[in-house]
Formats: sequence, C-alpha cells, structure tokens
Amino acid sequence: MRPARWIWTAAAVCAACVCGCAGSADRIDAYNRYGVHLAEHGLWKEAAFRWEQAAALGGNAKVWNNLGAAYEAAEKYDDALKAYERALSLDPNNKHYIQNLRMAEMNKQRAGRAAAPPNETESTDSCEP
Amino acid sequence: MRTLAVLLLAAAVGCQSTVKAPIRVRVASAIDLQKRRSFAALPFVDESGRLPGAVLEEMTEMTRERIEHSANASVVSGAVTRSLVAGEEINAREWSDPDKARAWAGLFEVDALIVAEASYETILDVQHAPVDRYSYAQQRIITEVETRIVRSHYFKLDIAVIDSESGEPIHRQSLTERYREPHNALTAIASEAFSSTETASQLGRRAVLKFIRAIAPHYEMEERTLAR
Repeated sequence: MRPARWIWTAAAVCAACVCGCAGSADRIDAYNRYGVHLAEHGLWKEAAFRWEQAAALGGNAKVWNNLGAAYEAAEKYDDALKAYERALSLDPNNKHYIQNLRMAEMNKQRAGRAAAPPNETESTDSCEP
Repeated sequence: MRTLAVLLLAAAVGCQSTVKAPIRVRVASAIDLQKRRSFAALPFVDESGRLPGAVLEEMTEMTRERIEHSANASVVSGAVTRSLVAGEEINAREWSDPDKARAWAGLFEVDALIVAEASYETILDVQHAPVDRYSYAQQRIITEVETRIVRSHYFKLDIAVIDSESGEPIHRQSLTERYREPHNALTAIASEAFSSTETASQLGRRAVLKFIRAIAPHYEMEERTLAR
C-alpha cells in the first residue's frame, strides 16, 4: 500500500509542476498579446508594462523583441538593444528580430549623430516638382 | 466553398504571428545645436548661370526662416546680410579656404555660416517606351514602341555649414532633385521658347527642405515588427 501512495504523491507533484509551468506560459502569452494590442494603438508605455510583467515571469523571444520596440519608443536605446539581443539569443535566426535590432542600432546613432563626420549625399528622382 | 475560403482567410489573419506597429523615432540635428546657436546664410551662388536671382534669393530666405523656426536658432536677417555682403563677390570656391570662411563668420559674429552653390539644367529629350495595344488586323495584343518627348529638369544644391572657429565644414550635403515633364511636339516648342522658373523654384525649395530636415531635430515614423 505504501509504494502506491508514494507513486500517487509523486504523480500529483509532477502534475502540479506541469500545470504551473503551463499556466505561466499562458500568462506570458496573454500579457504579450495584450501588449501587442496596446502597441498597435500607440499605447507603448502600457504595452511596455505588460511585456515587463511577461519578462518577469520568464519571458520568451517574442516578449523580449516586443520589449525592445517599447524601449525604443521611449528612446531608451541601450535597453532596447539589450532586449533585442536577448530575443536573438533565444531565437537567433528570426529575421524580424535581426531587422529590429539593426534599426535600433541605426536610430541610436541618429539620435546622437551631432558628432558624425560632415558628409552626406542625397538624390531624389520623382515626377512631381 | 466560399465559406471555407473565408474561414481559412480568417484563420490565417488570426494566426498571423507578427504585426507591424508604428513607432516615433527622434532624429537629432546633424550639427551640435547646443554649441552653435547663431547662423548666417550667405546668398546662394549659381554656378550654372541659369537660375534667376529671385529664385536664389527665395531659397536663401527660406533657409534663414526655416532654421530660425525649426532649429530654434538665431539667424542674421536677409537685409543685414545683403548690406554686409554688398559689393563683395561671393565665390563658392572660397569656402574651401578656412581663413576666408573664418573672416566671413567674424564679419557676421555668428557661430556658423551656411553657404550654398546651386546649379540648374533642363534638357529636352526623346524617350522610347514599349506600349501594348490590341491589333484588330492580327487579332492579338502587340507591343509597339512609342516615342515621347520629355523635358528633364536637374537641380543640384551643394550646401555646407561652416564652423566659425575652425573655418571647416561641420555638415555638408549634396542634394540632387529631378523632375521629368511629358510633352507633345507643340508644348515642347512652347516650353523651349518660354522657359518657366517655377519648376526650378519648386525643386530648389524641395532641396532646401531636405537640408533643413537634416539640421533641425525632428521625429520620424517607422515600423517595428512585433511578435504575437
């Protein structure tokens, strides 16, 4: 009788762990989706708050990528770069994350480009003056 | 079948893993506006000899106004500039000499000078383009070559911001604006006989606006890919 009780106890503990993990992943996903919905409407601060909550729960590549965009919107370029890099460390071949990281690097330069060398050439071609 | 297609489309849209969201990005000035608060824009020089003085004056005045408003800097007025440069020959090649540039900046008592050289060219050209049409004789669509007369306008603006202390350029832009105007034989002759300065003026204004965009801090909209 004793071994059977142990087996049941172990199974219950395992089930609780699995349910707990699944619940956490669901919450991360829910926070992430809500954050995306907010960001689509321009509410970047609120979105950042949701993604930070998702990151505190463990996060995932999607959350870190989105958090990078939110930090960029808040002009926190260093934090944005770290977040994008973290997203890429979790999903190294994602072309969207790579593109976001490159844009963030470029914008960091543009935001503080007063010291850049004085050379720029532009050309446009259009049919309307 | 249609219901199935709608359902599949809805599922595809709903399952879309990424979404584009607009983001506002701050773009700083190309020059340090904390250090340089006062500017003088010297009359723009036309090396091609095709631009009327009014167009050059309009561009110079527009540069002064826009820098004053967009970059929140003080700019020497057009009247004062004209009185100070009266009788002087302004040559675009002078700006490569730091001593001369420093001397001009000292005359205006400003942190930086804005100097520009414009050139304008217009060429009447014949272009051949393929056009598809239905041939009743051959009972099929055939491709023919259509000849069009096009007037091309080229406006080039070399503009630089020169530091008053070093006499060296701290920002330089070479902007080329183009415009192609379709014509028929009659309007082509008319345009040759009565050349209008309106196109040159508009292209010049567009080039100045691009320069101001680089000088004045501003925001630009970009898109970021968010993952769902």
